[in-house]
Amino acid sequence: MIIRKIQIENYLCYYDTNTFELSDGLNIILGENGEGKTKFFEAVDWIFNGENKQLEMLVSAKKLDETEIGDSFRVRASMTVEQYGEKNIITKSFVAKKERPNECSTSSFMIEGIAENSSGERTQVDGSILLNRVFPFEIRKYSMFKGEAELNIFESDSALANLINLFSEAKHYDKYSEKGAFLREKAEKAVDDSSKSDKKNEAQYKKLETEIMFQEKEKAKYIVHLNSTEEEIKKIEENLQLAESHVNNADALDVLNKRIVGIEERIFSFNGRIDENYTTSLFDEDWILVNFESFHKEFADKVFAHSKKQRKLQSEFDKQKGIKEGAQMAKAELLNNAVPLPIGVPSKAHMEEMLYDKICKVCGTDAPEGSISYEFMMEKLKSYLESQDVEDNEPEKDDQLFKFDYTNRLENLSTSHEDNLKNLRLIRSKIKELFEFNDERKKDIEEFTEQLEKEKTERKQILGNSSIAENKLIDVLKNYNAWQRDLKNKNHDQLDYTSKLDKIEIELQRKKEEKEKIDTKSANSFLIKTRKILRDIETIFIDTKEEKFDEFIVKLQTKSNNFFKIINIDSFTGTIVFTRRKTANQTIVDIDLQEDGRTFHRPNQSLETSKHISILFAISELASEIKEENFPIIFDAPTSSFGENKTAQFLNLIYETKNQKILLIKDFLSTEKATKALSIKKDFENVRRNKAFWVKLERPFDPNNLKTINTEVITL
Amino acid sequence: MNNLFDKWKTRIPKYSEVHKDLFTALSQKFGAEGEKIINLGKHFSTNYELYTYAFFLGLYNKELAPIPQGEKKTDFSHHIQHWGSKTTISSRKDFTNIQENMFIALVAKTEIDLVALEKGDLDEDDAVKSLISTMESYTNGGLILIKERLEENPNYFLQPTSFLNLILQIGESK
Amino acid sequence: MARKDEILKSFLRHKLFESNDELKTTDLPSTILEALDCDNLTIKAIAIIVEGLDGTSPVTDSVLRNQVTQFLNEAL
Repeated sequence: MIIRKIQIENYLCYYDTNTFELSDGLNIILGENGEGKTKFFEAVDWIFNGENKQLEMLVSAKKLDETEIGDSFRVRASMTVEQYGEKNIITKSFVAKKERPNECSTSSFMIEGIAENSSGERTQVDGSILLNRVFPFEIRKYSMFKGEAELNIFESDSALANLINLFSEAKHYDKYSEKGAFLREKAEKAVDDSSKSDKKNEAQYKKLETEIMFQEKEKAKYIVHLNSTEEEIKKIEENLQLAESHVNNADALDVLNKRIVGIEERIFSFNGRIDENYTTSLFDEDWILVNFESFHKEFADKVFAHSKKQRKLQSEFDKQKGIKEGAQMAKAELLNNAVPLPIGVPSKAHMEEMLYDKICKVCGTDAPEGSISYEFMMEKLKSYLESQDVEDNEPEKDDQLFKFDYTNRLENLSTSHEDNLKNLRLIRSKIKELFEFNDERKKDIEEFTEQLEKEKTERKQILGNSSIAENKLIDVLKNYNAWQRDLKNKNHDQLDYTSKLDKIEIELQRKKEEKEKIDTKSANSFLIKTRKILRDIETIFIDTKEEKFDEFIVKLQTKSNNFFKIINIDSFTGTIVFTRRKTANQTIVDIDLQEDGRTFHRPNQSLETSKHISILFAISELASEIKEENFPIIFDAPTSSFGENKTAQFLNLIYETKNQKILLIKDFLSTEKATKALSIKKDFENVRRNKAFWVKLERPFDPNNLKTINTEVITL
Repeated sequence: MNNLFDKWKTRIPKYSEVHKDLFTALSQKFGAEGEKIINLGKHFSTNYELYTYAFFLGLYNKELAPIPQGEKKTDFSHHIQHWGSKTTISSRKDFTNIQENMFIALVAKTEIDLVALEKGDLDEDDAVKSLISTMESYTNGGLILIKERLEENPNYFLQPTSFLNLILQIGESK
Repeated sequence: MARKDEILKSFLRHKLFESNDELKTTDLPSTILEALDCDNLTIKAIAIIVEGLDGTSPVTDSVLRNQVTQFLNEAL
């Protein structure tokens, strides 16, 4: 069946007669919100479903305004369809008579049908019958949709039952499972009664019956628990998935933040280790003495030279003055008039050591006790010790050449700093090492700073990708974790109930078998055999029915996925999956999008809509197969959530499908800012279609004054 | 035993007033450590630090520049013996040992008749005076060098390594 | 094929009939008429039921039950 023409006369915003000449394939009707698009849909719907109530609400205000009081006019919506080579015109109309300004009375509506055969002969037929013949209710139900939200037909639990009733053989098998159960129950009872009547068994039988009843009750109870748990699990998984898109971010964010903190700490510690207090180190580390060695040498030489000079003078002085103690002369001789070493050189400790070892360790010769060398060393030590004793042992100052002795301390200074010279030599390399160390630390800092930048950029991306702020992300993470715990618990419960059910089942089996034993022994064998046959028959009936159900679902699923492949503009790589689920009362079907076996709980709107539309197309195809004819699909704003680009893509894709499609769309219209004039965007030229229309209000109009409202229909 | 060093370190060496600005700019009288030195933007925590630095700079560069007669001298009232002693602030070390090094260099580079000193012919004070004079001259030389650097390139000393480098350079060029 | 025949055939496809040694798939009847003549009690009982529900004149529950039980009584 194809709708060839639709005419709307004086119906709401359609003043006078407005005609849409439709073609097979894709018909697109463009219209801004509130300019007649949806009213078109409603007019068509009214033809099929309109009730005889409040017809005055449907009257065109403009027409009413123009009509004189007392005059009347027609309000009409009619459809010309082509079916089996025949043309049929169905018109639904009523008369409106103007009673007062802005008020009218209306007649009841009537439905007229005209059938025109191939030769052009017209016959009047019953409109209502014709209506249902051209577009049967059960088909219409799945072909006309107002708005994107309505597309989800499986929201109602009874949807599957309806569909099966309409389109599947499975509907025939329903009664068989019922009857099968009925027959079997009767047979069971017959056997029970027969067994019970045998007095021997009565007591035990009753007991078993009671036990079995109890178990069945328990079983039912746990099934309820299990079902509700499974539903809760599903809900939680939905929530989790919703959060997951955020949480993947939150988790990653957490990890990233920890990493960033770690890097910042390392950079901080590196900075701490860099020591660039070069100027203060000049003093604190003696670096300023780096070039000091030569000066020390100069000093040492000077001091030594002076010391020698001083001792020479002293020695000469002593000689000239006439040395009191012969030992000194002897010493002087011994030394061949050479200048003696100062007192205290070698040191007391060294002298004592040499004396102890009886070796002169300066020249390396033996100095046994009593030898000249030994005596010499002894004397020297004694002089030193004496000199250390008391100052007042010193001879009168007048007698002395040198009144003061600065040399000693200067020499000490020289010696003590001599030792330090080796440290001074190390200064340059120490400084070099420090520079190198600092450079390395600086390089490390550079590396880590680079890495820090990378991590920070990554973090920005994660935050940018999530639609919620950072602190909310942390919140979601908390919720997410709570839900995970819940899920774990529920899964645990599920396992629990399942295992309980298994146990009960086993127990039931046992009891039933016991009962069977009794039955077999005592009950009438005919009854037993009958019971067996009827049990088998029931099983066959139930199984076959289930099979048919599943067959239908599979068929629906396959067809849906075929369409889905065509119109999948989101390039979703998964498929639509139908799962049949039995609750206590009925069979429900869940329709999910799955990818690699994982359910996509919260797909975005355009994906959802594509899914729904695919299913509807599939149903339409099923209907076509059963009725052996095609029917049109009429959608009002099915893709409002898509946005213009996606809508264009979508339209191009469904252009490929077979049926007649009438789609009402608000995209591809633009308003010029200055003049507020509406125009059709150039992009629309690229949209493939068989026919396109534009419904727009005649300008100028006053949105508050219905009398000015008049939709024009422009064929593009 | 007599100690020339002990006598010398009781003195307060002077510098030419000409370099007063240098001291104000580069160092902090009475000391500044840690945050304070950074806050004030000074390179040397104390005046004597700068003095010591200038001395060694002059010494190493053989810049013996006696302060001309006309120039007024001034000082910062800090006896040598206290130079380098650790203050309460923990970040610095004690470097009083450098006093000895300065003394050594001075003795090396000053003409003192030690014999006369020890004989008693030369007054100890005079000897110390000569040492101080040498000290002041080398310091003056160092200060002049620093001043010239700044005139050439006012930003020269902004590098943390600049003062160190001046000292190190001398060794390398040798 | 009338609907009742189709229905019968789908029932006969059940695996209970596969495991039955006495039957061979070729022996399975394809119409209600044939099935009503079949030796296999289960099959005949099914045929009676299908005829009763989807046949030309549907019967009530009690009639159906009687039909089945009476048949089985004769047969067993």
